[in-house]
Order: sequence, then structure tokens, then C-alpha cells
Amino acid sequence: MAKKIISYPVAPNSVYVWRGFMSPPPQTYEAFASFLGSVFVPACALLQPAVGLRAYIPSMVPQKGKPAAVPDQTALMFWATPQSHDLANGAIAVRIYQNLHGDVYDMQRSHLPEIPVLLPTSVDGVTAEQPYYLFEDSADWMLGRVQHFVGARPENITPHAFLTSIYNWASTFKINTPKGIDAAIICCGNDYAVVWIHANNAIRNFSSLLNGFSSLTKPQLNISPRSTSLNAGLWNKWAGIDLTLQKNTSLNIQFNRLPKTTPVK
Amino acid sequence: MHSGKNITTPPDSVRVWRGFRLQSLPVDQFYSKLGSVFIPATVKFQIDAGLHSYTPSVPAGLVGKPNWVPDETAILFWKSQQTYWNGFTRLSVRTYTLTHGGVYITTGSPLSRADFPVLFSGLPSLSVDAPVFLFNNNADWMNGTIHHIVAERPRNMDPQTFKSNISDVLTKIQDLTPKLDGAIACIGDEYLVYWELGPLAPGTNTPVTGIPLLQTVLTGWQQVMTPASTFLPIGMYDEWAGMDVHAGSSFNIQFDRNNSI
Repeated sequence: MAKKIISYPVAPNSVYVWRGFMSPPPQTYEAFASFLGSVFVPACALLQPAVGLRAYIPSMVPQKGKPAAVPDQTALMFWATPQSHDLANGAIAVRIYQNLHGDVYDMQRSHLPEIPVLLPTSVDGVTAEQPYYLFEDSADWMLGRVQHFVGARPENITPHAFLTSIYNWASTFKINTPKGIDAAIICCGNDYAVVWIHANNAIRNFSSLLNGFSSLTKPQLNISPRSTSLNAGLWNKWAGIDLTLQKNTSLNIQFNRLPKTTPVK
Repeated sequence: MHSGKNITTPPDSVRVWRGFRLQSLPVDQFYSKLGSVFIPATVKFQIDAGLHSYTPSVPAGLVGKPNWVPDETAILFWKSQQTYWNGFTRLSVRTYTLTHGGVYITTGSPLSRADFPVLFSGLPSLSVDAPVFLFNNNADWMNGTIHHIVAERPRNMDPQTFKSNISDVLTKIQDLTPKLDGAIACIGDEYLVYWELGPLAPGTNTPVTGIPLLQTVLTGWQQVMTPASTFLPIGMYDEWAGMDVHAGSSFNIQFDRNNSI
């Protein structure tokens, strides 16, 4: 008999929206991907579920033709509660993970607002680089289906006009929500835009739901993160994940979640 | 199987760490990083990869300590050298190892580094940044009394003379009776670090020690430390702010070793 997977829906502001830029040369993309695959991505997924991580969806942005101003990696990290991320820092398992960040990322460029807020009702309230969520209901992003899109700002559009067009798309998507969609997160920078949408169940033509978003950008990545389990622990002999493989471009990592949401006091 | 008692390891199965703090990291933040992350994580992330003992010390911030003397020293005994190298096949060890860049000087000079030692056999066997062990016998460095000295090369002594003088003293230490259970030394261009694991001298409460012999040569800045046996009463997922680390802290961390590695 198959083991029943318990759903852990979390609030839409209980996520960290990561847009990472790799460190400048001499670091290469191959070294960046190797580090992420052998250490960073599996460490995130193995060290943090016990203290409240609820879903983790990392994606590598293909380098061919990618403008430098578009992130090299994106990720969603969902936590049990909006406070869980900070409380998790009380555990040494999480502190060691957080000390990994500095070496491979250009932290000045990657240090961007990460916690989303509700999409404003007017474009006047929108800020570049601030992530937004479109729907207020909780959702379990580890389960169900996700579609993720990364696009660059077209060169013939100003950053302001780009931000406005992305906002307008999001507002329309929120009003005319495709059936089955229960969560969506967007972020528009000066030179790029990213979006993730989530559905609990399979939806026909799921990937085409972002066609309107895509038409506003120079597309860099449009992908459904592949659900995958790591099948290894912290102390197993294991080389990690080869993130240069196309099948690993975007992952929805499956892990065991626990009811508790904070370090043990 | 985990155990804290009576496990000895070969004298060459130790990584000898000399760490130099990034100058951009204030010393109070250095202490905080050591106490809240590095020292406990060294143990928690590596027990099940075969770590057998861990003895970190923190000269950083001691009055008068020159910048060319390490800010943190440590000896980390493994079940064997191969056990250490095998650790990198495990995510836990890779994760722990790759956290150092934001704290220590890992390129340029003075360079933070760790090395395995070779058997000391007189002056030809002593080289800069090449640790030596003085006694070719297994020992358990987690149990017993350790003394540790960190010292600068005296400013009026050139590097070659320093090396020669230290070599002479290390030879004398090898001849002490009763013999020490273990001793490890490493010279840099500008410093000496030395650890000894000693029994008590017969009929006394005084441990056998070679440190007074070394001090006949070490006439500049120096500090002797006696690592305190210290337990970490927490798990990886417990709420815990970390250890209190300050100038001169020195620990012999006590933990249950995984003898099945």
C-alpha cells in the first residue's frame, strides 16, 4: 500500500524568492553549477526540513544567450510559517547552510528583497525587484504542479514600461484566474521578470498559461520543475546532483516534512 | 557503533589547522562565528564521517598577538588519513568544508591551511608549513591532558636559525622520560604551533611536558593553552545560540565517536 503523503500548505508570504547571480570570473558557470549540485542544493533540502522547510524549487537558468542582468539561478523556499526561516537559524544545521552563500554568489547583486507581498491594486504601488504573490490562500508547492518562467526585458522597452506590462499581466491573471490555479508568485526586476504558478491537480495546456507573460519578455526559461527525491542522506557516499544535465534544470525536491516548524527548544 | 572511550588513532592521521581571520571580519564576529557555527559544526557534521578528536584553540585577540601568528589553531584526528579523504564523498563534510571562505584567509598570505604531519627525524624532516609528529605510536587525543603553545618566531632570530633551534628542541622532547603519549609541531615562516599529550610524571601530579624546553627558544610573543574538555549538549536541530568563544579559548571537544566508519 502506497504511503500517504501529508499535505502541508503554507501561506503565500511564507516563501523566500531567490534570484541568484554567480560570482564574477574567475569562477565559471561549470564551477557554479558543480558547487550548487554537489553541496548547496542538496544541503538546502537535507538540512532544513526538520526545522520548517516545506518546499524547495531550485532552477538553473540556461546560459546560452542569457543577458548578464538575468539571474543565473532562481529558487523558491517555502517555510512552515513566515517566522520559521528566522527561527530556523537557531539550529546549527541551518547556520552552517547559511554560511555557504557567500562564496559562489555575487551577494551584492543577489541580495534582493526575497519575501513577497500581495500584488497591489494599482501599478503605482509596484516596485522593481519586490516579489509579489497574487492569491492569498495557502498552497502546498511541493505537491501538485508548478510552471516557472524566466524572461529578460526586451531592449526596446524601458524598465518602467516593462514593470507596468508585467503588472498588468499579473492583474489580469489574478482576475481571470485559469481554473485550477491556486497560487502564483511574480517578480519583475529592471532587466528581467520571473513567475511561478501552482496547481493542485493536472491542468491541460498548463505551460501555455504563461504565454501572455512570455510575450512581454525575451524568454530564457519556461519549465515545469521535475519532482525528484534525493535518495541520499548527509552522511551517505554521494556526489550530489549534476545540475548541468537538462533534466535537472528545474527541480521540485521531494522530502519528508515534519509537523514541527522550529528548532527543538 | 558510537563510543567516547579508548579509541586510538595513528599519529599521522591528524589535520593540523592554522587559520588566519579575514581582516574584514571583526574579531568579535570571528568569535561569534567560531562559537555558533564552526566549532560545533566541525563535530556535528563530521562524527559520522570518522572524526576521532577535535581540539580547537583561539589565539585571536590575545594581547600582543602579532598578525603573523594564527588566529585559530586546531588538531583534528581521524580514524586514518584515508578516512579523512573519504569524507569528501559525503555531503555533510563538503558542506562543512565550504563554509570557510567567509571567515578565513584562503588565498594569499598569511594563508590558512591544514596538513597531515610526517614523522620528525631531525632537521631535514622539518619544513615550513609541513607539520611533524614526534612519537610514532597511536594515541587517543580526546582523552588525556593536552598542552598547546602558539608562538611567534622571535624577531631577532632569522627563519633558518628558528627552524634549527626548534628542531634541536623537538629532538630533546623525543628523548624525555617518561615519554609523552604524543606530540605534534608545525613551523611557519613566522610562528610555531605545538601540541603534546602527556602522562603524569611518576609520583607527581605534574604532567610530562616539553613546553619549557621550547620556551628557551621562543623569546617573543607566545601563549600556552590547556584545552578544556567540553561537551556539546545539543543536536543539529536544537535551538542553541552556540558556545562562548573568546581570546584564549581552547577546547578538547568530547563526543561519541562512530567506530564503524
